[in-house]
Amino acid sequence: MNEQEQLKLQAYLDGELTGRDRREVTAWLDAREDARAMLTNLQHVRAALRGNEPEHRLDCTREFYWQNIARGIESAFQEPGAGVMELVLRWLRHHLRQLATAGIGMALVIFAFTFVAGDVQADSEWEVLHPDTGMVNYRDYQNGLTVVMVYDRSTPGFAKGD
Amino acid sequence: MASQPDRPTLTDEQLVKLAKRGDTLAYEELVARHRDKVYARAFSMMRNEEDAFDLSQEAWIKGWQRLKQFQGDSSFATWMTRIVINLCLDLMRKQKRQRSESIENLAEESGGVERQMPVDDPNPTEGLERAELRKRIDQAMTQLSEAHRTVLILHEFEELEYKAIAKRMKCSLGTVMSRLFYARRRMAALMAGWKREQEEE
Repeated sequence: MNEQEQLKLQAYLDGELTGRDRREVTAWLDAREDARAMLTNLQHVRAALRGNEPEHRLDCTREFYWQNIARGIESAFQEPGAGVMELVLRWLRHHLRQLATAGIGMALVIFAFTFVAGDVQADSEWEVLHPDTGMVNYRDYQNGLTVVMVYDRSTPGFAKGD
Repeated sequence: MASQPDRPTLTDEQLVKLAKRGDTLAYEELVARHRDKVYARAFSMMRNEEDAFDLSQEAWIKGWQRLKQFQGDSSFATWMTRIVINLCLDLMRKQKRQRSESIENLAEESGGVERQMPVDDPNPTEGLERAELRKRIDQAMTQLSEAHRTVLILHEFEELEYKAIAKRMKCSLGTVMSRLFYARRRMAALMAGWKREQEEE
């Protein structure tokens, strides 16, 4: 039997053939001794395996085996199915520092762009929003930029701004 | 006050229901009932006690996490077995990436010699007692490559169809058929050899 015929015969045995293919194999089995011998051999091997799966038992106590599982369940999740939320929270906790750093960096870039790299634009204005809390609003109409800054009122340089 | 359920007397379905509500004691009872089956499946695939132990425990943790997805379409034990099988396949893929395929494995992929061998013993297991047969099947499994052993386990023990095996193993239907055929022929050859040895003694 060639490879294709062998695989088709096997598929016949496993109930994976339908229609024309099935009829073709049936015809081989009627006419060919080699096909019958191969099918019988495959049938015996399959029957031997299906009824005789090797058994392997754990060689430890119930308590010992459970301990690790219980720890895993406890550390990963508090209740079944709570996984997604837990993962989101973990991701946020893990990346909070990077996110905060990126935010501060961005603020510094905007600040430098406004005060260091370029002159203060003529068509811009400062506005003290809340003198008590120390909030100042800077608007740059030319660049369409608005920056809100919160400062410590005890800082000497800002005292005059009151 | 509601009385505590006597968990060992409950059915798997009742225990699953309790575990879904967060009852870890119910889940512990399920673990105790099916731990050998889950471990045995992991061992039959990995052929390594340490890996099988770790993977079986990982499967139980995953089982707890996914418990709400269990709808009862199959038995709980079958559902758990499928989880451990997936973990074994993941580990095998990881290990496979870390090592190069041996020449022997490549020869097996292409069919080896068993495929071409004539059928000289139609029933290679005839006359073997059940305990002896189980032992020999277990020994023979160790002589198959991971890929052939896995396909045999998924088809003969898990009774999965070709298509489901291909999906799990991430390979084509043709590869599944070819590996299964080779694995069966190899098992037949090994068992026939042992039978001959027994007859000669």
